[in-house]
Amino acid sequence: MALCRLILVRSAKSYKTGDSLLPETVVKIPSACCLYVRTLGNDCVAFESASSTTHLIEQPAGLLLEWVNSEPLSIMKLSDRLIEIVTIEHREDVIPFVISTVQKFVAMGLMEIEKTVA
Amino acid sequence: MKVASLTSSELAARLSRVGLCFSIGDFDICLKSPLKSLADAVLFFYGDYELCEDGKFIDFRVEVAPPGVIRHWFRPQVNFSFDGLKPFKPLPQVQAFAMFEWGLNWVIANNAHQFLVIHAAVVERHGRALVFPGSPGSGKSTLCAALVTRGWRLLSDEMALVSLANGLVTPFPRPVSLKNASIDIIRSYASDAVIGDVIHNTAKGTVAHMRAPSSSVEACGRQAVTAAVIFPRWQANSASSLIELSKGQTLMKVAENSFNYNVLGVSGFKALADMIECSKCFSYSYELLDDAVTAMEELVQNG
Repeated sequence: MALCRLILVRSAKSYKTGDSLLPETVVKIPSACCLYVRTLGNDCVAFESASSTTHLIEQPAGLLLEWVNSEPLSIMKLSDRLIEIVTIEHREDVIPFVISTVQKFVAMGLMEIEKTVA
Repeated sequence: MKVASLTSSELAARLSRVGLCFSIGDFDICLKSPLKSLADAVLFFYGDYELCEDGKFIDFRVEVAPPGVIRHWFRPQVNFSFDGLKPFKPLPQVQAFAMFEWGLNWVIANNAHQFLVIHAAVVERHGRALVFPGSPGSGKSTLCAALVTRGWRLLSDEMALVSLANGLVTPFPRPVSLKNASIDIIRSYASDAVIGDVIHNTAKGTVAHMRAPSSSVEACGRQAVTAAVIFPRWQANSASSLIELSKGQTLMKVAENSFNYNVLGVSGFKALADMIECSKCFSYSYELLDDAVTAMEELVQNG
């Protein structure tokens, strides 16, 4: 049984995605990855049916995954949605977090870059 | 018509010839065995269960029988088989009833995939079920037995069957398996508990079974809503302590305690997430059963 615990905000590991992420970069769930995401209290759990892996994801990283699971979104859009929820006034505080979190999801194969607008 | 309506010799004859077919919750079982000791144990523990009508479809056919004639004379043993398959090595014949119980657990865990099967005890009061997942030795069966002797309904001592169709816990009330020190703990806690023979030197240590209450057996058609998922832990010299767990962590821990979560795929994930979403989640450590029973009563009364 594959169970995966993620503590994204505290992870010290550096991931290489191959592509640098810009605020305009649009990310999506890979087509081969059928993902089911549920928010349970303050946690998020995601089930990846291809590998039968269950991930425990701390918020707010889980929210990002849930939103991208609904539709492809840009880093900017994800940041805006997060800003609405956490009521932070400064976007520059949020964008680095979103980028690093998305990079981790990409490295794990749970997200992929749809397009990067130059 | 109940198993107890058969005389001891009728039951033994049926067991050894065509097999004894009886219902446990949602399942119809056919047990075959030539062993008189097993016939006596089945009458003792399963007397309140309904016999299946002739011609009814049987879900699982199992047999508990000695491996061969020669071995009968030298340290007699017994085998458990399911549809001709022998999943375990033979055990001493004195452990025949325990082997039937363990074998039946194995059969359900590996075949009842219409349920998410969790290694957990389940009891219910006021329409609210408490699920106690836990590894062996955590004290879940002891706590379950104590609650049952105080009037709680037993749904299962060993496995929570969460219906994939409606998310409710389906009863599977069978004898409660008590091990080692918990046998005497329950004897002294509830003098009216009906406990069978004590079997020593099993793979799980000393084992004895407590009969499921008749009221729980009669209510085995009534599913229950899960109110809380609680990881119990008996701890010497510790005060009763109920600590809330996050739902995400609870889902991961329960998945680890499930027999078939990995088999069910997304339907197992959905069933488990639905159950956890509607439940409170705790870890609970206790030393005294009185404290534990009071804490569980308060939990279901306070919602």
